[in-house]
Amino acid sequence: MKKINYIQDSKKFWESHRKSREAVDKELASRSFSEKLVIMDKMNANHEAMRNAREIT
Amino acid sequence: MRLTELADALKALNQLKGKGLIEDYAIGGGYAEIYHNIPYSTYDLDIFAIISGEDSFRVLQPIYEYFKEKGNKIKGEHIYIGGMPVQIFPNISPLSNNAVEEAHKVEVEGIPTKVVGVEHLIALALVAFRLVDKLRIAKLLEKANMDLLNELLVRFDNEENQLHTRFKEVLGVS
Repeated sequence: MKKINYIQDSKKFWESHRKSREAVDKELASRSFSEKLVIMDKMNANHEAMRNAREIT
Repeated sequence: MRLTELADALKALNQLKGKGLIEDYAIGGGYAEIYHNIPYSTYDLDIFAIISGEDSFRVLQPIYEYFKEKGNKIKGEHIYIGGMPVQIFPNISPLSNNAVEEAHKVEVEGIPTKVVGVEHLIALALVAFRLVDKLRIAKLLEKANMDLLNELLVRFDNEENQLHTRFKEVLGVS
């Protein structure tokens, strides 16, 4: 059986992921208005695709 | 018809699975909530993954290298697939891996994938338990199967009964 060590409560892991997310948010916020509109369209299309996802058995 | 960035990202994740770089994965976070009909606005995609390897801090390295070789941008912990920032959370806990194992099998634009179920999303939010998670739990509870949720809380609670205690706090029960 393959061994897995869980990350669980590693502060280092979560801190690095939190920083990465903040950087993504900051980068998106710094885009021009027209770029933000393009991203908004893509995001809405992604959300629509997710809402329309169908359960398979 | 052109696929969405989301579908392109899922195709790439399925290829990772096909190549054995991840054992299994499921969509978590905001996109999982959207699937469960909870309004949420997010661009980046959170993925819970089960990945073999003794050092969970290093198991993502081959994945970053794989995407780098394919020309994808890697910034911090995010992999850009299409233009979509994707964050992969490997082997967070027995609960998160169970969330992947028992996730709903779905198709997004014809692409097979899995989405973390409502009850697991609640249990995971009880673990994180920031203000945003408490608000998230309040919205998710309407959609939850309480028997299934209670069973999960029993199965994954710790010695301090943290999940149950926190759940009671959210419900306003002492």
